[in-house]
Amino acid sequence: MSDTNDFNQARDEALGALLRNHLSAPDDAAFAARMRVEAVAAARTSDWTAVAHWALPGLAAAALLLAAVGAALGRTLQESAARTAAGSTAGSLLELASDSTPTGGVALLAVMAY
Amino acid sequence: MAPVTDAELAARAAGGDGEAFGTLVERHAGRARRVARAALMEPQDADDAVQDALFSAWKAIDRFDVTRPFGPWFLRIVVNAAADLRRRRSLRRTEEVPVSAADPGPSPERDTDRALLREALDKALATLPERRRLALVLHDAEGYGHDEIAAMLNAPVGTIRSDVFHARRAMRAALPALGESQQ
Repeated sequence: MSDTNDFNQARDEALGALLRNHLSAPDDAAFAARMRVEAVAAARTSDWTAVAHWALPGLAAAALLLAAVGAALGRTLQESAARTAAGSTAGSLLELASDSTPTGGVALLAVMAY
Repeated sequence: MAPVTDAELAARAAGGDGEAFGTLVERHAGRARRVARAALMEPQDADDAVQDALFSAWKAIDRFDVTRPFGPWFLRIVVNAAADLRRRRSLRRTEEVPVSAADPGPSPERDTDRALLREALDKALATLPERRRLALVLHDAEGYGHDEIAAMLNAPVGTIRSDVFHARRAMRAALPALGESQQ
């Protein structure tokens, strides 16, 4: 280790080798291999994170659309069922109203009210 | 077939190639680990800092200028990760633990000259302020120029030059026997 080049670009090779050796560890190669695996995994994870980032608003929009379609479909089915039920009730009342009995008279009034 | 250069790998990594990024990290992990050890003086923390750094590097890889060398860019991230880790852990640690003292092991080597030298080096390094220690290691052990180190440590070139000078001086004062044998 020499004082002469302390302010120059030149390295102190002896001190450098000593420090490099001191700061190195026997498992450096295994550590490097482990870091490679971690790096590739980090890249994959962030890819999925990006996909999730973009997919989340899309999924939310799709869920809203499905809910709206479901509600509209439900309303349509309900109306159709109500119409069918009303049609069959009116038919039964008309049959009763054609009777000349007191029950038929009540049924006639019910048809008119309907 | 010639090995793929860092520049080619960095360009591929910047384009989203995780395997290329992994290869780059593997190439620079040893150096990153030494620099993190010099910064933190604790092996486990140093490894954690390198791991933190590789996550940060991947997040920033699309902003990496592929015309520049990958090593100094990655080491700058390692140095920042080490500083962050030190800040996070400063609450539970008040003193630095020397590199080899953290895991001395039951080795008979402790009685040898080599073990004594390791202890002396640990002590000498621990007396240096962190930036001075890093400047010395990056310059003399890792071979970077003052200007590259200045960029890595975010300090003026003149300051780094002075840091290396004072760090060498301190090491010589702490390790007189070594100084004599090397001269």
